[in-house]
Amino acid sequence: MTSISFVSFDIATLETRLLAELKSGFRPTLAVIFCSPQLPFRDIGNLFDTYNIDLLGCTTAGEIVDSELHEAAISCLLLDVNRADYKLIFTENTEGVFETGQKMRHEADAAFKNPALIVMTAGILNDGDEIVRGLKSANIPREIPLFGGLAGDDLNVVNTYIFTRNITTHDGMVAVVFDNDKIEIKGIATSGWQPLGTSHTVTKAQGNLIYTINNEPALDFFIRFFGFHDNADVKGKQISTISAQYPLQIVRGNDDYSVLRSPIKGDEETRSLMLVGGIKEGDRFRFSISPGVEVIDQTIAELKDFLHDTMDADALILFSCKGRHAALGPFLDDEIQGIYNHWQKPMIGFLTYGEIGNVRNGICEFHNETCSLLAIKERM
Amino acid sequence: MSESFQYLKLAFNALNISVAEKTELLRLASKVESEQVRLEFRYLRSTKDRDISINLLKETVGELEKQKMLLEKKSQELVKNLHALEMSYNEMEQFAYIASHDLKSPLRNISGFAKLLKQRYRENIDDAGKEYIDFIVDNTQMMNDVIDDLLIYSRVDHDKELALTNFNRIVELVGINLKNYIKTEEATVTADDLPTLWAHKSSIIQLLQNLVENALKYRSEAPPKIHISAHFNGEDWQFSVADNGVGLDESYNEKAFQPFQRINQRDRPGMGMGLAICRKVTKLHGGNIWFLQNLPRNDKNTEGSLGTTFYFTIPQIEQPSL
Repeated sequence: MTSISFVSFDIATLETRLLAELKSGFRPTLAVIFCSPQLPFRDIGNLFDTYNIDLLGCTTAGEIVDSELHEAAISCLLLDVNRADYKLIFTENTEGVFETGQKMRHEADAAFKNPALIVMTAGILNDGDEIVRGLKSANIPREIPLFGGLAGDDLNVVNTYIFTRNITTHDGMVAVVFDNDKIEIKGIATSGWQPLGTSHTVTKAQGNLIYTINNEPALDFFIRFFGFHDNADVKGKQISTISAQYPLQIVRGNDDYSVLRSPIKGDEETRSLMLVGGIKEGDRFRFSISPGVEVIDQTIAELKDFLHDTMDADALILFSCKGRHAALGPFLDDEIQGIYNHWQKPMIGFLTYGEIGNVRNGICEFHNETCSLLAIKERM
Repeated sequence: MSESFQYLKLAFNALNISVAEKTELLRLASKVESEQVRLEFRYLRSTKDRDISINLLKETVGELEKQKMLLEKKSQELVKNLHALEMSYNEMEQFAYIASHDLKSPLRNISGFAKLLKQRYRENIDDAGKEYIDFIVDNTQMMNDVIDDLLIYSRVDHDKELALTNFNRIVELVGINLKNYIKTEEATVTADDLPTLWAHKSSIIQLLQNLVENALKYRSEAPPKIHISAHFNGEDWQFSVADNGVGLDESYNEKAFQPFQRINQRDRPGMGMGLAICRKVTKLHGGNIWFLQNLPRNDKNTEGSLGTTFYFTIPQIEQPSL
């Protein structure tokens, strides 16, 4: 499979570059686009429709192409994959994210004996955990390669979008399902955040809201542990600015792994904390400390170690949490560069509002604060 | 591009140097600026991380101290409750002992006078009356047996003294104590070489005797064969008393060891205290007791009489401190 990745900063340049590739004899069948919400992303569908290239894409909070992180840009990956080896699925959230995910999974299972999914979702208030639960809800339960990201909107937190050649929505999911017997999808989500202190128990929660921790109002608990000022405005402001760097590590399974969740909002009235993903009463968590820039080497090493047999990948897609950007600042460029330099293959990605990916034990979870890399490789 | 970088650019333009030199200076300035941004970010991050880490750890220590205090309080309450429980248990034991002891004397009188009544007033009592007197005598005997068992049960804890106990010798003593019973039942009692352990000797005699007696009592049609063995499992000595009796359903493993429980075969003698005493003895030593049904063997003669094996453990301890 041939693949080409490139960046453009407007639709005209995107078309020019696409035409140049077509002129050179390259015949892509599938395009993956990550586009800044500052650009007219709604026009992208028409462009690819004109050239009969299948498309899936979403808006972002930062765009990655090869070794670079961009702002207000379009990341484009073109693949000349056999049309029989993949299927695009688009579903709007009409019933609920769990049902949408479940429907998508059933379609994927019906399409191929061994499907592998790359999914993008739109909808600011959607519960990432429910999305993954739906996507994992197969008739015959089994773990499959399942990766993706929640679309972004440059931290405006108003609307995120997904799109195909013909449809754009701010509340739905789009996925490309590969026949994993023909196209291998392999990846891993890794964070590097270190737990700190003792574990605490969520004693009252509903959906993605935590009301009490250790029977203490959740907001007060959070404020106490982070040593915020008493002034309500300061507290509110600080929560949004620091929570991404000090997420909660929620213990899963028999203490064998954890998922990260960042509080995104504190409610002064109910003294609750809002997370991006769902949380249950009885869940245990530990606070975690920002890993420092040293985590970059650790992340790259873990990706290399796990994906050591994918050096000849045809293309790479990187879902990196926007919170990582806040935590690593200009050093995030080093992480992206390090990953690209190791594989030296066409790579695109974006800064997400949440990542979907398998962890080391093969279980797929919804994450925050991770760097989730997947390699796409045609089986010979 | 920062303000200082703009100034640098202007300054470079004012210099009387070539374009290539200006470009190189600008490239270097840009690199320095970018490095400065990175350093500033790193500094701010580490400062913030340090402050938050200190606070997180401070709160964690506070939480741990709170939990420690709670645990200490709970522990004190537990010690208090345990003490109260111990006192109440001792009082109960004492009560059981005194009550049993004091009941025996009036019981003896009832039985004696009932027998006297039957002998002296034989002519004045009809057959039904004589039968009633027999009932009185039999039931007082039964009650006497219950009291005897209760006395033994309540006295188990009074055996405070640990002695170096040769279990081979204990088996011999049990054989002597039950000599007639073993002979009557045409039973064979065998044992492997058994260890010598620190134990409450008289209680251990009671324990083994009860188990052998139990095997004789619940015999099958075949002549009883009882075998006693022991092995060390790394921490405890595990003893077994295997028989070829009628067998006991393993689902009764809890019930069988409770006082006054008779699982089946109500026609056999006994008050249902034997196994309760056995459990109390093993608990006194810090061990356990249980039983398993023997697995079927390909021996037609043993059909329907697989028997039971009782196991009990006695921890191996070094010489106890006095």
